[in-house]
Amino acid sequence: MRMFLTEEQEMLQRSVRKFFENEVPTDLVRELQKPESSGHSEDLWKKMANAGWLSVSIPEKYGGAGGTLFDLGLIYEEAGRVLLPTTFYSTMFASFLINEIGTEEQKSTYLSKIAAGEIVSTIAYQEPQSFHNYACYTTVARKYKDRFYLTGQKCFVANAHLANPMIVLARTEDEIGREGLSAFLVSPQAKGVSIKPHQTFGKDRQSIVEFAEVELGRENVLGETENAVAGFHIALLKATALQTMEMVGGMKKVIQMTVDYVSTRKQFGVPIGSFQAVQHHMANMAIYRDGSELLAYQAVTLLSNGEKAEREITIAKAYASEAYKNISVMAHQLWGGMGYATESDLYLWSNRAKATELSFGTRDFHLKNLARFLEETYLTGA
Amino acid sequence: MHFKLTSEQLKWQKEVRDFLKEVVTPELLKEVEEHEDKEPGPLEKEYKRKIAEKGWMGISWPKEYGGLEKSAVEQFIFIEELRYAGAPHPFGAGVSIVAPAIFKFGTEENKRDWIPPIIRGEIDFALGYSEPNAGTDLASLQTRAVLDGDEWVINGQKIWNTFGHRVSHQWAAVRTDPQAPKHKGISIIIIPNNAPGVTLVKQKTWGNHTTNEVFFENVRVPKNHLIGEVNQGWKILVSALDSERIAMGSSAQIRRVFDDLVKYCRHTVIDGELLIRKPEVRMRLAELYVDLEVALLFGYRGANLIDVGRDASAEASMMKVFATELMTKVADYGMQITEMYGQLNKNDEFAPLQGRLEHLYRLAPFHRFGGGTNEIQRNIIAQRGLGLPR
Repeated sequence: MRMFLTEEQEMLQRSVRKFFENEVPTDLVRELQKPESSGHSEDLWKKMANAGWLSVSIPEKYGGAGGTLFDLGLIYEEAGRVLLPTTFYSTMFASFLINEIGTEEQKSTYLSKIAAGEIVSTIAYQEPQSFHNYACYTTVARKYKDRFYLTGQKCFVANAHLANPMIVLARTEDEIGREGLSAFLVSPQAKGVSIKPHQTFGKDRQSIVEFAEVELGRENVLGETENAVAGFHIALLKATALQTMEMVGGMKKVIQMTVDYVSTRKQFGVPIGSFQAVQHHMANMAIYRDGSELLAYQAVTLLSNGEKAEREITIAKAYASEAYKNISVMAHQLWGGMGYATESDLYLWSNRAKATELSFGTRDFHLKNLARFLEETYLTGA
Repeated sequence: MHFKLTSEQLKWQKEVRDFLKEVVTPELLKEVEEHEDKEPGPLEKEYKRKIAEKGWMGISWPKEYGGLEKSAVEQFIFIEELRYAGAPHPFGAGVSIVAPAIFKFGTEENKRDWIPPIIRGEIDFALGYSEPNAGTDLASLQTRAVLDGDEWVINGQKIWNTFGHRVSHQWAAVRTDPQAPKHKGISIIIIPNNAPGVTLVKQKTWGNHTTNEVFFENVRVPKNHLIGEVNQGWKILVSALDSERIAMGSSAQIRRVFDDLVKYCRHTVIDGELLIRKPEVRMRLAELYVDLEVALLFGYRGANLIDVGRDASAEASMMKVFATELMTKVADYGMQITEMYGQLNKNDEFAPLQGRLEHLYRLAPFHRFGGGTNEIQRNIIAQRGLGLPR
């Protein structure tokens, strides 16, 4: 057991933190959240590419740095600290799927483009009536000769308006009628694609995307048809684990800002940070933060080492969901009016805390996973 | 013990409910929302006029002041019906806080000057209490009032002035004796918002409601704008805070969100199953239902205690803590139950409950620290309720 960062990891963390502190001030975050903005900064994206932050865990043969998933996790944590635009997360998520199921040529093409900061991507998988159960997907791609015709509706697609390619999960049938899930690389400009933005309280860019008989060819299939499930499941696990790293970064930032606030804000002639009630609240926040950090680091470390780590990932998300949200709620309590006016930045993290609680499975979803594990696997020697 | 409303009270409840069904139209609600950061629009003014016409501005006021002299329980029923219906507040602090304070502490001249226009709905008030350096430590407020001949001259700054931009007057707590110990040098003076030297600057909040900073620069008001006696303001303020806390114990707004959430769960399928059938959703809804019952009874208890003339400070604090934290809980659970849909706001056609879950979530923090932070309330529960030492 060695639960501290290595010197190399600390160096990486320091340089990423410094980069983000310089390049992602809250003014930029606010700017990108305005409705007229796309939510993405090309300038920042290029800088991130040049600094190597987009290519950390992409294999060297595709133009990446060949680092570990944990290294990428450290970047996620720093990103969460500064509220980095979500194009980073959706593009990385897409890169995991490409890496899992793409052909060698597709990996070479798309992963190198991602590493170089040339494209933004995303995965369109959730549907209005289906968040976790692929059997309920109604988006299908009918095959006719060598063409596919994609029809259906996906929702909560992050950055759909910017992604090219958008990776769409749809049900297909092979020649003898066996059904399976396939992943298609779709351009948002393709005929039959229409994108309508959601209106989210956190102001991050998610859309409903409708596909009306979008014509696609063999070259649009990511990997093999009827073969996306296993690879998608792994990509989803990675994205979930890494999101908990992002959440930990956000938690740390909120706690730091709140420590600063309660140490300087005075009432009754003393800093409010000297009141016992305030200290107890802050201690509770610290417990949530540290628990989340250890769980996130554990999950990502095991994934990094090639383990599936499903148990660890589900525990991390179940806990972090509650932790980040509660930290933000308690921060508002301690900041009072000063943190509630929108001139203050606190609410930006509160929004993100709630949004990340809901995405990649709520606490209840993950507790149900664990319940199954407790019933079937736990203490059975399996 | 009686845990049911009497037939009189039920009749009153029905009267209020039927009236609100008629006057609370979608057009009214839309106008109120659009005018949130401005003065009330014509439909809202008409709505207030109708309520004033029914004599409902002063439901629990003494008859001699034009009130209906109804009990606190009946006042509570009225507030609960308003909140459940999502009806706009018909009055600001004028009816709920200022008038009761003037009945209790005002001079005869104060009563003659201020009560009639309040009950006619002609004037309304914002509470000018908090300052940038005086929040929980309200007694250290600095806004200064100096008597100059027949006028008070006021200088200073207030903050978190809720509804300031929608009302005609400030009910301002000011320092009239800087030499005295801080609680003993405070007075309440009424200041018109349109007096020269008064400037309001709007502040937008996370919960979307507008509040204000109020600047006073050599503002002059007549001497008789002082309420009660000079330097007696603290006890007026404290008793006024008690009335505010009772109102903050109403849980009907939260109950309404819960009821609509249950309906949503009955009809929404996610991942192949109606939400209401999922065990984890059922457990969360049942948990909220229990808490809502407690909140309801706390509310009625508070009103009951006032009616029988018993001290209600610990109970009021308990009610406030419970209801405001339940607000977060209902919104939080609701957003989790609806999963990805929970993050949609009212501008999205797929938003559950027209975006009321996420809106309630953002409103809740304000209620938890406003009106006396829940930490202070817990101190009161411990000290006044349990007799623990200060």
